[in-house]
Formats: sequence, C-alpha cells, structure tokens
Amino acid sequence: MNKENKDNEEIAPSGITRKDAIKKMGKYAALTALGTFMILNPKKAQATSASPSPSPSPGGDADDDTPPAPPGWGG
Amino acid sequence: MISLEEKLLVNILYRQENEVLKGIDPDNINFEKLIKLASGHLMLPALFFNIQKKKVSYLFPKDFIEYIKNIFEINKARNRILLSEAKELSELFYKNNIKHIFLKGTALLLSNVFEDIGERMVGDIDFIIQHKDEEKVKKVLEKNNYCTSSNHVDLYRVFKPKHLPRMVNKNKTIAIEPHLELLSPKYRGFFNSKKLINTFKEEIIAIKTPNEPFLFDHCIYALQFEDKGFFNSNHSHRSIYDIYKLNCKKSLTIKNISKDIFIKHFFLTIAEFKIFDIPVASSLSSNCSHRLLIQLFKVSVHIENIYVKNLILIQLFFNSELRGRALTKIRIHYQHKTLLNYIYIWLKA
Repeated sequence: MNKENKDNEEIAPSGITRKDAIKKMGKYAALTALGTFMILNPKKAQATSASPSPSPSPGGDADDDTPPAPPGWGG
Repeated sequence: MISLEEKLLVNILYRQENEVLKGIDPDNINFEKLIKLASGHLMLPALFFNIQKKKVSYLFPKDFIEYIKNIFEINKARNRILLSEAKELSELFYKNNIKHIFLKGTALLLSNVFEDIGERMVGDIDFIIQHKDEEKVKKVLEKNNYCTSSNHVDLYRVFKPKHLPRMVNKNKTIAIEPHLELLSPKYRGFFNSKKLINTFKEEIIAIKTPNEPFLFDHCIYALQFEDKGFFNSNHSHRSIYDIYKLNCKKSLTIKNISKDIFIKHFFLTIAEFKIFDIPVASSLSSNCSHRLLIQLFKVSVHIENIYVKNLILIQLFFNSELRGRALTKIRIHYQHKTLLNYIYIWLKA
C-alpha cells in the first residue's frame, strides 16, 4: 500500500486527515503519550483498559526518547 | 542518571520558584522530550498548574504553554464531571443501602488533596464495596444502565478478583471500577481490605473516602505490587506527586518507613530526586534481604502466571465464548507457529 492510499484511508468523517489534525493541534500533540489522550477522551477511555503509553520502557531514561510507561492509569 | 528534562519536571513540581533552574541550563532543555516525559507520567496538567503557580512560564515557548494549558483545562472539565458522577453514584448506593468507599484518584479529588482539581489525571471512578454486596451492586448497576464492555468473558474464579469488570454507562462520561479488594490475591497478605473494616462499620454516608494515611499506603502498595515498582524499581511521577500532596511527613505510617520494606523501597527508588527530606538508610543486611525478597516475588509471579495460563486453557474446554475469543486472537498469526496452528485447528473444529 503506498503512502497516498494510506493518507486517504485516514480521512476522518470530519473531512480532515490525521496529518492535518496533528498540524492543527501543534507539534506537541504528536509527542504526547497515548495515555493522556485516552484519559482526556472519556468515550475512548471507557472502551479500553489497555496501557496508555506506547512505550514499554519505564522510568524516563536520559537517553530514551520514548515516554515512560506510567503505572496503572485507571485510578 | 536523571535527564535534564526530568530534573526540570521535578524542580517545577516540588521545589520553590527560586529553585526551578537549580542544576539546569535552560538553553539545553528539549521541550519535545519534556512533553513526552510528562505526558508519559500523566503529569501535563500538574506541570501547567505548577508553572502558573510558580510564575515561570517565561522559561517555556508560547506554543508549549498554550498546549499544556489546553490539556489542563480539558482535564479540569473532565474531573468536574467525574466528581459529579461519583456523587450521583454514591447517592444511588446510599438509597440502596450499599456501603462503599471511594479509592485512588477519585478519593484524592474528593478529599481535596490537590489545590486544583485540574492537576490530577484520573482514568475512572474506583470504589470498594463489601464482598457480601457483590451481587446487589451488580443488580443495582445493571438496573441503572451500567454494563461491562462487550468483549468481557466471565471466567471461573478461585479467589475474589481485585475488582469487578470495568463498567460503562452510555448516559455517563466516566467508567467505573467496583473493587472487592485493594490488590491482586497474591499481594493481599501485605495489604488488604481489612484495613477498611472500621470505615465500613461506620454509618452509611453518601460520600466516603479513606483517611490520608490509608490513601498514602494504598498509593505506595499499588505502585510497588500491581505496577511492579518493587521488582523493577520504576518510579511514577503521578504516584510521587500524590504522596507529596498527601503531606506524607504528617502521615502516621511514615513512622514505619524503616520497618516496611515496600515503603522504604518507594523512597529509595526516588531518593536521587531529593524531593522528600526523609533519611532512608540502606544497610548491607537490609539490601540482602531486599534482594532475596525480590527474587522470591519473581518466582511467585512466575508460578502464578503458569497457574493462570493453565486455568484459562482448562476453561477453553467449557466456555464457548472464551473459545470464540481465542480463535479471533490467533487467527492472524496461526500460520507462522506450529503450536498456534494446532490450537487453531482444534478451536475451529
């Protein structure tokens, strides 16, 4: 699947692509750990109980660019 | 080695305004890294609140402040809804004569531990009920449109689970988690709901939260056991911030710090941040016993994992719903692995 098709597939019902959405929200949105968005979007948070962070590495290491996995995010 | 960004996060969260740049060259701060770190620890709202409180927003780019301000405001609005839904839930239980106590983030917000309700990110409404009320609570919640997620499968239970399945209500915003216990069965020898017996004995009131020493203990034990902080020495800024806000120095349990290896471990893990002025000495003998305990725990966790896996395999024979779910899970990968291939063929038959 080429990139163009992939972008087309990501067009939301609102009519904007994921790329546009990130552009609109600012560069920081793309760097924010998934868990933060999962909590802020209650319907998504209701539907899942998966780990919020895309990173398996905890602790916030100095040389690690990925966000740490927070502990149980439910409470 | 603590990264520059984590040093800054710690200084902003826990130190005075004039100490925010202690040991930090502001020119070397990578704000993108700071967003990753703080959001990974669910601390963006607390970061914004403390930047405003300590009047240090001049240290950050405008778009950075704008972004975390938005996150803080969305979180604050969500927490307002959470508190209102917790109160509604409490009234519902009160009417039905069900004793309940709020836990974790919800309890911290209800106890006014934070200066601003927007500071703390909370996933769901946690509360604990008495074992004898389990069926009654299920019925009351079902009658009031709460239901478990569609992919939930009931498994045979040997021990009381920590909590009933997470429940949602299409007319409400926040999911709920009714607890029967505080920790998973294997950790209950160290910390369990017996600590709340006296609170349960009290007369039913609409909103009930545990006292601060209990919230302190629960926060540390949950991090040490459920989130494996004791085994891998992970730290969580959300938990550290909770403890900081609970004013742990005044907490009675802190007197047990040298006796309680888990509380001691929590403070040893974060000693490098120099947040709490608590002397946590670590002797050679305590180090050895500590390591031995960690090894014993690792073995017990391993045994439990094997036990749980076997239990699920046995239940595959009797539970068609579970078989259907397993079939869906392995459908994608079964061609590449011999064992999965066998299981796939067996399940499909």
